Amino acid sequence: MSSAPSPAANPQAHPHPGYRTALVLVFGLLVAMFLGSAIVAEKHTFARLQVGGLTVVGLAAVGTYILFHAFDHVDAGRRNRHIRAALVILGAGLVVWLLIVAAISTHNNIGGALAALPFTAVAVLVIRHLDRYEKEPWRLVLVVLFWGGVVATNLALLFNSLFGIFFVSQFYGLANAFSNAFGAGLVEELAKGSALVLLYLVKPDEFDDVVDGIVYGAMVGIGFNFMETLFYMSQSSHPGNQLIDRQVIGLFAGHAAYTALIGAGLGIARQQAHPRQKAIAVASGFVIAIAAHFTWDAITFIGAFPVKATDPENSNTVLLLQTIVVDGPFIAMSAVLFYVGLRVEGKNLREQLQVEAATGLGAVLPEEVDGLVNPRARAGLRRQALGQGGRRRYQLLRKLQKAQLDLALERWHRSRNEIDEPMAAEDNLRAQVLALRAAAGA
Amino acid sequence: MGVNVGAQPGAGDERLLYRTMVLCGGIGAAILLLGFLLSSSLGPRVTDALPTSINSIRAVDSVTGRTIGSDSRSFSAGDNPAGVVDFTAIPAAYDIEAEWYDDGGTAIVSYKPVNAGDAVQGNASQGGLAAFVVFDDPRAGLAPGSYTFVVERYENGRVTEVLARATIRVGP
Repeated sequence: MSSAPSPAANPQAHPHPGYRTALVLVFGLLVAMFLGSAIVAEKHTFARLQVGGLTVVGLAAVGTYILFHAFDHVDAGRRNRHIRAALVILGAGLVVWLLIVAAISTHNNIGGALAALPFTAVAVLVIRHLDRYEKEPWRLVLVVLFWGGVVATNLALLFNSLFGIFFVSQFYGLANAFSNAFGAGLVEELAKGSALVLLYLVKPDEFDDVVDGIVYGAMVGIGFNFMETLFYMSQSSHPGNQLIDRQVIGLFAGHAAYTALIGAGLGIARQQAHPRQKAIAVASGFVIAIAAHFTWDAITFIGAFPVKATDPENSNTVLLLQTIVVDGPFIAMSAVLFYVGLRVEGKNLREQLQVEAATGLGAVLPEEVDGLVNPRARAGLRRQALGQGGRRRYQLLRKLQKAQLDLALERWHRSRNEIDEPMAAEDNLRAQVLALRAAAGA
Repeated sequence: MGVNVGAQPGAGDERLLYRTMVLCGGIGAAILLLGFLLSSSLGPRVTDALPTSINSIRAVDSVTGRTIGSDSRSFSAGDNPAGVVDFTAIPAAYDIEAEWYDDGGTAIVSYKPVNAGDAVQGNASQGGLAAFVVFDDPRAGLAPGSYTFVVERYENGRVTEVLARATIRVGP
């Protein structure tokens, strides 16, 4: 069997048309960053930070483009060459980020990073685990975490400064608190959302529905929250308290919940037939995320939940209460959308698996359908395979199950006219399933 | 191959998802509108009605913590200037809050409101003048950039009017 990664539900022989829009967006972002950096450098000492940020965003954009494009290649040699090139470029971005941006903004808080990493890792695993039918590939999960942590934070640093200089500084008192909160909500959610929009444009085949959108959105937020934790830990006289506030109490609230709502909007847009409905769904996601972020910050800035800063226990208790009261409704919105989305995904996968089984082509057998739509049953079968045929049998069955679910997703999108080249992709997936079945002896 | 699927399973759920998302967007728009209305109705009026209430902006001696030198709008990086308020120029009934803002509009320090009449009496030996330094620790200093010292009227638990402002430039 080939060790090549399984193709996406709808692999693209050529760059997807969305690539062009994405390139225009990235170019626009870089131009805006360049101009913004010039303005901020005039006013601040952060010139070095902004030059570093601009370089990081540019390298991240190029590296991500090459990485995504690499997985569209059928030829393994070309694919591996492109993956290596992408990793070198992304690595260079990471080095620039570590030497300049992180050094200035977080004082290279290695201790903080080591302390926060386990919590962030758990959050990533939990979110991915909740995606019960078709888990997103690790390469995309890691890319969106990177964009959330490195790219979006850079964008937020620059555009928060610009927003402050031109807007917030015009207001005082309560208006200052509200405009500050509005700026943070607008800038940070747009920065995080840009990563999701780019993914939506260049990888629609991996952005299936509301469930995928919420998963990717939460991942971007978790990446952003990780970096923000390091930033606040390096600024605070109580870094341990910041760690608890942001990596325990606020781990699934705050950034993860807000950006999940942007992802939900994009995921729902993915499945709308009319451009107007798509636009409304995307706009709704952004508006509710900005509003949620605004609400949290405004309530914090006006001190509606007063904290005794010198008493960590009081601070954590008050923050937990504020999280439940303020972020609770927005987390509930994400949870409801996720739950209904999972139900829709499950129903449609079952339907498509049944139809595929009824064709008699052998990719899906009628008796496999119940097991495939039940994560526990799938895991049980894999454990059984591990006991009977060892690790190789386990891996083959895992790949087979994934390919079968990819095929069902492919059929689902095709039935809704959501893909351009349905039959070739579907035939490829079916052939792959049959090859895996033969190898697995299933 | 390619069996067509007829009726969409879960089509009702998908409509529900779309409508829920639109409802969320509507709630978000209402929150932002409410925030805008609150900030515009509760935010202070910027009148700059009492410009002479800011007597001067001066450097602070890092050893004694006292203001030194003459009135200036230009300082060096690392300086810790103070805004000197002349409370005799402010109606005695006013409660006054003094704040330092950076050029991004963030309040670096907000002093607790004081009554202007009480402040005149409390600072009688200085002729009703009181200094509001940026940092409590006189060894701390400002990074390069612009900073604004603001004297505000405080009523009913919030700032209602900006009485005077002075912007300084801290060079590299």
